[in-house]
Amino acid sequence: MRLDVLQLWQHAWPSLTLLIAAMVSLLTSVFPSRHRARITAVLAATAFLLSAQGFFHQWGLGEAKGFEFLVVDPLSNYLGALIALIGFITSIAAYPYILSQAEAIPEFFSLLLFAAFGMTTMVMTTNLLAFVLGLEIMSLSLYVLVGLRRYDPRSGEAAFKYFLLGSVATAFLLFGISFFYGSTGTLDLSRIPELLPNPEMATLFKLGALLILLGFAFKVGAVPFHFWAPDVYDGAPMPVTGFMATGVKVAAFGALIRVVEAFAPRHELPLQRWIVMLSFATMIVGNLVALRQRHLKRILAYSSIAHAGYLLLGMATLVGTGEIRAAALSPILFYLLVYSLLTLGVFSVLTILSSGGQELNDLKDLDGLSEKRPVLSAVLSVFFISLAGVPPTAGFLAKYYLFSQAIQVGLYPLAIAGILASAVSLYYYLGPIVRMYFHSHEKTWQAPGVMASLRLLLALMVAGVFYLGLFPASTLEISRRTVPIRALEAPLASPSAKLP
Amino acid sequence: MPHFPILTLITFSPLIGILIIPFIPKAKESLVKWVALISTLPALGLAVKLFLDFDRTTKAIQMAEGPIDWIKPFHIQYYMGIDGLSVTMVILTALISTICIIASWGIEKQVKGYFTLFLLLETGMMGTFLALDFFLFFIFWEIMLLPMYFLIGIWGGPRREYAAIKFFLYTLAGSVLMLLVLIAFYLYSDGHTFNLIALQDPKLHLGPLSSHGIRLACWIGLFIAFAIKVPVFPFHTWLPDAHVEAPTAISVILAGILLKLGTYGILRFNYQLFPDITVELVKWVAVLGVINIIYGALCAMAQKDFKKLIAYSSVSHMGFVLLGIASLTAEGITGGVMQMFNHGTITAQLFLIVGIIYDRAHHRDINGFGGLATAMPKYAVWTTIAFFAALGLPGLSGFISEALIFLGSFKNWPGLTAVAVTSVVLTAAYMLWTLQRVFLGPLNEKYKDYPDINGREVLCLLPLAIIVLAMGVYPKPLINMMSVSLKGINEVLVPYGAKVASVLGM
Amino acid sequence: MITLNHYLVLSAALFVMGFAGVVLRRNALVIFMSIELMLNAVNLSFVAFSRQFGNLDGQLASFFVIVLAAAEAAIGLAIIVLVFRRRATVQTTALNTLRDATNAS
Repeated sequence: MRLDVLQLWQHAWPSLTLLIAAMVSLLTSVFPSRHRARITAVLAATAFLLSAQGFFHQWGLGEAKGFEFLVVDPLSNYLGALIALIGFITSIAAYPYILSQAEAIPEFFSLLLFAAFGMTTMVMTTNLLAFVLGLEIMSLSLYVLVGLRRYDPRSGEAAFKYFLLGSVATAFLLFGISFFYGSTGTLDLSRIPELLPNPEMATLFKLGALLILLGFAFKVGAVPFHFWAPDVYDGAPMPVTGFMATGVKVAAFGALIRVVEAFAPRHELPLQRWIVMLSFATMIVGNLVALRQRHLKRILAYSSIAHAGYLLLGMATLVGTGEIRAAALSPILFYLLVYSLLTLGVFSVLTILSSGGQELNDLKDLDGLSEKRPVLSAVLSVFFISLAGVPPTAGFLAKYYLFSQAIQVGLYPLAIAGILASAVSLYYYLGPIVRMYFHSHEKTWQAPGVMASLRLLLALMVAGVFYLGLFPASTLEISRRTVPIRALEAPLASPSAKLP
Repeated sequence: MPHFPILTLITFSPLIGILIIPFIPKAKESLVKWVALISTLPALGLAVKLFLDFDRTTKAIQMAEGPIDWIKPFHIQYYMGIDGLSVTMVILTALISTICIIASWGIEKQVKGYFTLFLLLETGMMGTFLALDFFLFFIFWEIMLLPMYFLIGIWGGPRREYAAIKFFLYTLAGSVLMLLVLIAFYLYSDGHTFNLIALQDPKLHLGPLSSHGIRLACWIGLFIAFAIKVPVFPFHTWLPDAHVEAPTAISVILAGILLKLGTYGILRFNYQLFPDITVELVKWVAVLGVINIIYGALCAMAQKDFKKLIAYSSVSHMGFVLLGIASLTAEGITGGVMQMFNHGTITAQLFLIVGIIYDRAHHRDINGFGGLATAMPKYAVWTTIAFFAALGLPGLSGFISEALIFLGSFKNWPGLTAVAVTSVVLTAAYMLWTLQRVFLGPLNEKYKDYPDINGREVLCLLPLAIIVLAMGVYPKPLINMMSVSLKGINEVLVPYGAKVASVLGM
Repeated sequence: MITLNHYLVLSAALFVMGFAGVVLRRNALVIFMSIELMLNAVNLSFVAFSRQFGNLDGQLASFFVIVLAAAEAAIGLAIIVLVFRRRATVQTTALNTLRDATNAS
């Protein structure tokens, strides 16, 4: 098949826009750095918005198209739109933060664009090689982003740890992919042959699948491969942490959906058992360890680990026969949307508070915030409460959807563990709220006022928390109509026929 | 036929205040209180209208709004309605909420936040009593949780953080259990419906939901969720802490309304959705009720803290409610629900009274007072009315409901009732002893110049006292309003082997 | 004759040695070299499989991996230099600012 560039552009332009914007933003180095920050910020925000709009438009067309390396289908468009929106919100929220740094760092926005391009590539392919390429584009950009505050030893240490552990994970992933290739003769997930060349290959295939899964487990921060996350989140600059906690999760889970979809029919793999074990450990450990944390970003790191556990629970329901599988995708996609909204909300507020030149660190730094910044405190509380899953907010409905799906397919112990674990989570999400409201104020706040665009954005996000909690029907319909390419080519079951 | 959406308006009218309060300039904080007061008035007015318009001859759901599809993919509906059980509670909620706003006039810290949360709490409480869709009920149930947490945690006493978190964790544990039952209904009810009225038909309970073991587990899960709210021994330990730390008005809300949600839930969910299991386990409900009565009374007797004493008396009085509804007689259940209403009005007075003396003395040590009757004669009169009502003096409302409960429960549980009756003596003992220690004896010089009860405080106590007196002399309007519905609840249990008895031919 | 299995055993041995280096060594540069070793083990197995199947996907993959390794080297060495300039050491044991500090604050 000849790669038709024009056709590729036609279908993949939202993703390529990010790449082009990233390249162009590098050319702005002719300007002095303060102007440069503004120019690249505007460029990045525009590109992200344009790209999100493009993905959404493509989603509306509902087409599925496969190229040599890339796949454009409703699933990739949904996730792509989500990633672009994450990038958009991050770039708006980070702008004052970047300007407040000892030396303004305009490269932040270029790297953000590159990372987002990598993420979109990860979700836009069924080819493992292209996936690794996207993963590395993302990871390499993130290594640098984490170390962006180069005068801060914590930032450097975080980058160092992330780089070393991330590279090892990549090596495992690649080794797994080589086994996958060795046992199937292809690098494309959608072309796994019905029968493996010989029975010996089954072992190799199994080993390959396991190693690939381990690579993913590392990237999403699943227990026991989570140990890097708290350190890296803690040391990274605030907006970067927010971007990692959301963007990487969306991209990695998006790609994992394709992997699980491809592996699910293979009976030689005890796939469900693997995922169930991962999910169980991740939910329990993430939530319990979070209880003992005193650093804000570490709490959020363990919180993001815990949420990875809930999402893995969703993945466990994705392993099943046709109808169950078709119904299991929508809770995961809805959860990814809600989780990203809430986590970005939290990090946007924390980024604003860190824009006074001093990074928020200890939980104590929030003491008495409600007296100085009542609106920001209230907004932050809404996001925390929703992350804990309290109705009538989006966080509750997303969890409800996910857990009820798991119960429906008979994963009772896992679902009940999840519900209990998320009840425990309320305790540590209340920690910051207790600090803000119940403790008295000790230090003076230096964080500047909030720019109008960011205010509008935060208002929209808070509205979204309640909108998705109270009137989720239309969004649920979107997630329900988002199917991967295989389901479109050979419909397993009409996705709307089977309601959970 | 679209009719006047009275129930929706009752529920959401307090939110009008929430929309206005943020825009009031900081300099005019007293305006916030007025706005809050005015925004509770529509609900109060509509509650009066409910009282007048309520059809007392049918046990069916009245003035229903919905069911309308709300979150269609999950089969969640917006469905509100009242019957004899909920109408009394709604009237109580509207009344107590308005009174509590008046009682909160002294709040000075973060005024806007306080009244915003308060109004949100009122919406949550109203919605919980009115919702007839399980999911909707759960949402309102949770909406109450956070405002209460903050109201205790920010405006409470010295150990407020501990009390707030304890309250929160206990209630949360209950919510988790309720959520599990909720999911079970979603998955295994015919048509995935949450409609509580439709679900009373056991034919809709399919699959695991029709097996005895799962039904038993669901019943127990729901019971614990509600028992924590009541609170039933041994889930009661959050209550004294929460009461002692909460500001006066919040204690009033907590005792006056929130506790009732527990027993309301037992009647609405356990009795109506799982009548078979209810018949099987009702004996244990009665036993727990008696434990509550005796244990609460004994603990109250041992307290030195005035507020803690009232808190434990609540535990004891809620035990009467449990015993009443476990009696499986029309009298007993009617007495139980009436006790819910009476306890709401009486305990509200008791907590207001504690608040009044705390505002002046800044302590609540019962032994530290003495002779207050000389310094504050009017205050002594109000206190005496409330205390006598609480100990069940004939002629006041508490007597009627307790008598009905004993009458009803004696029919089915004579032994337990005999034990419970001894509590009348215990209650009289701790109540009278407290009165004696606080008001009689030599006047402590410190308290000589205390101002007597003022107009605002009288305004809070007066309506409650009138109700207590009126219901004691002429309880018929209240009994009529609920007896048909409650009899209906009781009769549902008959096919499952309950020996439903009627003593007075009600 | 050298069969597929020989290549695979060598590849696995290289991979395990690389991983052992990552786990056991404390010097950042040595760890970094070990990671490169792991990536080369991957290359070897890709090429061996490619020969087995007679299709070029595996060889293509190994070229990709080489490029990735180069890119990682560029970023990784920069990060190591950054850390060295702050701490004057590249021993991983010295990098302990970030950890679960539950009691200290």
